[in-house]
Formats: sequence, structure tokens, C-alpha cells
Amino acid sequence: MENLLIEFLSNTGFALVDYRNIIMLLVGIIIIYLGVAKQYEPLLLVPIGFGMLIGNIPIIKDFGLGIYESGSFLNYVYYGVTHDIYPPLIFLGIGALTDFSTMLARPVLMLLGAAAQIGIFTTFLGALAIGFPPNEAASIGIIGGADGPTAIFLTAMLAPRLIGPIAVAAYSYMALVPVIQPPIMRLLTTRKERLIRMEEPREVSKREKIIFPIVGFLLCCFLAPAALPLLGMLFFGNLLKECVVVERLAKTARTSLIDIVTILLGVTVGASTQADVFLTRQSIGIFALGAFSFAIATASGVIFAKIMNLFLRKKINPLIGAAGVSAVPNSARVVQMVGQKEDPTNFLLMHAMAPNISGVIGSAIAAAILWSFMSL
Amino acid sequence: MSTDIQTLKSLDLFADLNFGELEQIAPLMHLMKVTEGEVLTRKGEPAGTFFIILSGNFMLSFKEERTFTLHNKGNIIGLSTVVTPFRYTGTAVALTDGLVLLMQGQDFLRLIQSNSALGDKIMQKINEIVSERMPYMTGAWEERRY
Repeated sequence: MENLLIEFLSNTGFALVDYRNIIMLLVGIIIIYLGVAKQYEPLLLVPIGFGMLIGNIPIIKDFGLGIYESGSFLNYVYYGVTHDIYPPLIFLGIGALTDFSTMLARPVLMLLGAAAQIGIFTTFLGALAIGFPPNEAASIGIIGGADGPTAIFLTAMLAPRLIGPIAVAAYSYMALVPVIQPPIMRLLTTRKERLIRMEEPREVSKREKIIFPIVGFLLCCFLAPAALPLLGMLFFGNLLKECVVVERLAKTARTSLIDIVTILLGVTVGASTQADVFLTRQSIGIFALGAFSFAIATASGVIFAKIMNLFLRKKINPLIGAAGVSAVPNSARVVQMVGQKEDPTNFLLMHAMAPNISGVIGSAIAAAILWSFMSL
Repeated sequence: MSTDIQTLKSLDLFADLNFGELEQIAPLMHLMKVTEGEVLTRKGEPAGTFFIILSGNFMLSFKEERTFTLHNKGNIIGLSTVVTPFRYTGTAVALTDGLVLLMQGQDFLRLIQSNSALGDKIMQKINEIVSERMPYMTGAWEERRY
């Protein structure tokens, strides 16, 4: 009886815990706090934070409980992350939710979504230069796309070991869009530029909206076939939304489905974030390079908008270039906020949505290009 | 409980919207009964929900103990959910029992993403309300009186 009791006690978390578990549990609690109390991306940070608690409870090895132990519940659910099932499903929901009409009204603004991807490639080169292997450098660079599912998609393919830190960095920077972007935007623009008013976008016909997902899909996937899972689902979701005749499917994709997948993705990514991969100097490098990537992406969009103004007859407000990072619609809202500080009657939100949603497509294509290069 | 189109149409914020636009908003607005003394927003907390008054009296208190009451149908509480600083600038307390419609900030973001033209229209209207209310919140109204 005494032996049984001792054995039982030695199997409890209290007996198995070490200081690294404690640190990771605290990190999880901080992430939950940021989501709940500060409401930074709560839909993502709360599941990730709780997942970190689940993944860092000290348990007996080979008991079939841990996320990396074959046959465990968490391992089955994590399969959707490691085999790139969840990110495309999230893209299906995003497609079924997103209105591309502002982008179609003025297609030239798509270039801003492409320009912001410079941050990804600059950081990729930077990470290579400081010694990260190419596959990890590519996964770190994609953080600058400010698109969590795309970052997870690429990392699962190239550097699955780093899914945890990269996902936490990507979602944290998405949450910090209102903090990181405004100083960069103000630094790179003059007051006169921030005051530029843009004309109302033209109305986009229903036919254009229905044709777009089909043509867009064909063009993008011929250009970057590796983007097929993400963009295939994105454009399919958008077709469901725009064609109207399958509203029930569109509604499921943009509500229940995306929410269920977000829960599964968030919890398992959190649970996979364990001390041996998170509490390393490499993680500090990932967070620092991720911030750099995000800042460069923002700056690239703004600077490219200024360059476009040299050639455009109808000038664009360069602030909207910052929305070229994905983070839909938070970065468009930040553009609106910064523009309105200069002129409360200037409304940039709708204009900023164009580069913002093209940034989603742009980061998926950037991920596909990196993946293709790494597979050569 | 989601709300009906006629109720939305009767509110100043949505008065200019067409039937199709109101149909998109209706599932996002939820009816809530409020009891006397209930706190809807607390100054300084992250703004996650905004409320539109259907009935009842509400007191809003801002910095330097500046307060005013809202009691008209269509008055809005918690505008910081959709405009800066995204943190409640005042505390709102129900002075009587009442009814409000509420919308979550997350739902408003989804609305912007799914129909940016509609999101833009609502933002413009909210901006008008904020600029009307600003002098009362900052005290500029009192300075103007004297």
C-alpha cells in the first residue's frame, strides 16, 4: 500500500515538474492574460495560451498523453497542423468571409500587397546571414506576412520543430499591429502625404465578383503552384460567398468551420510549444527577426506607395501601403486611425482594405515561392 | 437574441442603410436587458463591445468626474470599440432598467472584412457621433459656454 502511494505521488506533476515547465506555464498564463484582459487577438491567443498550459504539464513519458506521443489525443489533433490541414481550412473561411471588391475596383493597389512581401524576403536573407539554416530562415521570414495560418503552413513544411515559437511570434505581432505600425508610417510620410484624399472606389459588379475567384485562382496557382492548398481554398471560399447560390456552405465556412479549426489549431500549436524549443536563444532570434520582418514589410508598403505616386495621376495616400501586410482588417483599421489623426474627415478604411486583402494572397504566394525554392 | 430589421432601421446609426445592408448587420446585433445599477463599460478597460440604447437611462462618467446621461433611443455607448483608443474612455452605468443592442468588436471587424463599403459607412457615421460628443467628453463644451 505504502509503495503504491509512493509510486502514485512520484507520478504526479508535483514530483515531475522542473523549472522549465514552470516558466512555460507562466508564459502560457501571460498569453491568456494578454488575450483576455488586454484583448489582443483573443480568438487566437486564448487557445494558444491554454494549449501551452496543456502542453507543459509535466507528465510521464510514453504514457500516451503528450502531443509528440503517437496515439495520444493531442497527437491526433496536432496531425492537422503537421500535415497542413488546418491552414487551408482557415483560408477557406477567410475566402468565404472576405469582400475583394475594393481590390477589384482599383487593381493597381494590389501592388502594395505584393510590395509588403519584401519584408519576408529581406528577413529570409538576414536570417541566413546570421546563421539560420535556409529552411528555418524561410519560416522566420514569413512572420513578416502577418498571416498566422500561412506562417504555420510554411513552417510545418520546412521547419516543423519551430511551429510553436513561429506561430506565437506571428500571432503576437498580428496583435501588436496598432503598436508597431503607426510610428513607422509616420516616420516615412510627410503630413501632406498623410492628408491625401482618395476618390471613392467604383462599384464592382456581381459578375466581376464571381469571375474573380476563378480567374484569380488560375492566375495565382499557375504562377506559384505550391500555393495551391492555401489559395485554392481561399478562392473556393470566396466563390461560395459571391455566387450566392450556396449561401449555406459559405456561412458554415466563415463561421462554424473557421471557428472549430481555429480552436484546434490554437490549442495544438500552444501545446506543441514546449520548453526545449521555446526556451532557447534561437527563439529570441525568431522573435527579433519576426519584428524586423514585420517592420520592413510595413515600411516597404509605404515606400512603394510613395514610388507609385511618382507615376500615378490620381495620387494614393501612402499610409495605405502599410496595410499590405495581411493582418486583415486590423492593419487597414490602423491606416484609418493614423490618417484620421491628421484629418478626421478623411476615410481611408475602404481604400486600405485593397492592399490588406491582396497582402493575404501575396503572403501565400511568398510562402509558396520559398517552399518551392527549399524543395529544389 | 438577434434583432429585427425594423428596429435597426429606426436607429440613427443605421438609418441610411438599405435593406440588404441591414440584413447583414442584424445577426451581429444582440438584444440585452439591462437592470438598474448594471455597469456596461468601465473606464480604462479594453473596449470589446459597443451598445445602442433602445430604452432606459444611462450615466457616462469620464475623466475629471465629468458626467452626462444618455436616454434617447439610438444613443451609443462604448464607441472606443471601433475607434481609437480601443479602450473605454468612460464608465457607463444603467440608472434604470432598460434595453440595449450590443455588438462585439470582433464581429465589427468581420463586418469590415466581409463588406468594407458597409464598414466604411458605419465608421463615417460613428465618426460624426464622436466629433459631436467630443466637446462634452473633454470639457470644451463648458469652456465654450463661459
